[in-house]
Amino acid sequence: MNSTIPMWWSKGRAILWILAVVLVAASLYAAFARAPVEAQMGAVQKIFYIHVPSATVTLLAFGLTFAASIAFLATRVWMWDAVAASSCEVGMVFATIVLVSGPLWARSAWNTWWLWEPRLTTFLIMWISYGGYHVVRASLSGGSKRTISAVLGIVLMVMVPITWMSVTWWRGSLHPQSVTMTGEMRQILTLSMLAWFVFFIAAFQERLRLESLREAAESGGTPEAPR
Amino acid sequence: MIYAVAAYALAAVIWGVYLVSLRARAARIARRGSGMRR
Repeated sequence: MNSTIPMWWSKGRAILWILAVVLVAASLYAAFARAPVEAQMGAVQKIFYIHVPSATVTLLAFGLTFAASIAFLATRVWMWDAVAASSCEVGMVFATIVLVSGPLWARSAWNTWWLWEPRLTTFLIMWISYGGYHVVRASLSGGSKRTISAVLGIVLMVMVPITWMSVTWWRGSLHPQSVTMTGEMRQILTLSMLAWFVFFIAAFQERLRLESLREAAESGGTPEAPR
Repeated sequence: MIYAVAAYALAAVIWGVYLVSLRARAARIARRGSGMRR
């Protein structure tokens, strides 16, 4: 199969980045200048507008890794392996932001940086597990690299529902099972979700392009120079 | 407010470092590719 990404995808790259940056800037403005200050937690609650969208995008990214890993094992088309690895790596960046922003919020809201409560613990285990995906992938070469990565991408998916459901399955969680928001807070959360999702797509296609360059270089093709 | 600003600032740093690393890796692959063709 041709080892370059489709032309329509490459053409949309600049537009996607502009859209992502504009949306993220708008969501930051909305979070800091427009969102009402939460009555109990105060200004620190504004972390919510990056923490929750980042956590949601993390789970979606790992879900995409799972689907692309299945597609690779079924078809053996290199692009699916590239999609799985790219989605996993960008998902790890979002997961890192969740793990960085969470303790800052917890320090103010719960008076501690970290608690071994169900959601935090399962999310940390998930982060370490998917970090392992990249360690294993980097240590392999040849045909086994893609196959073992795909198997890991499928097996690790078990962490996603465990993390999601941890607040329901185990007692003692400080994270709420659901959050009900109304009015401006809800609108700004929706905008933030959209902004970080578009940002994920922009970063994902950038990472996918890297896999395309690598594939072209390894197969003796002509990798395009980075712009 | 300081914690909220710190969270967003750290997120910006993480994204900045990651996107620069992507660019550096792409440049390295392109250099290696052009070296192989010579």
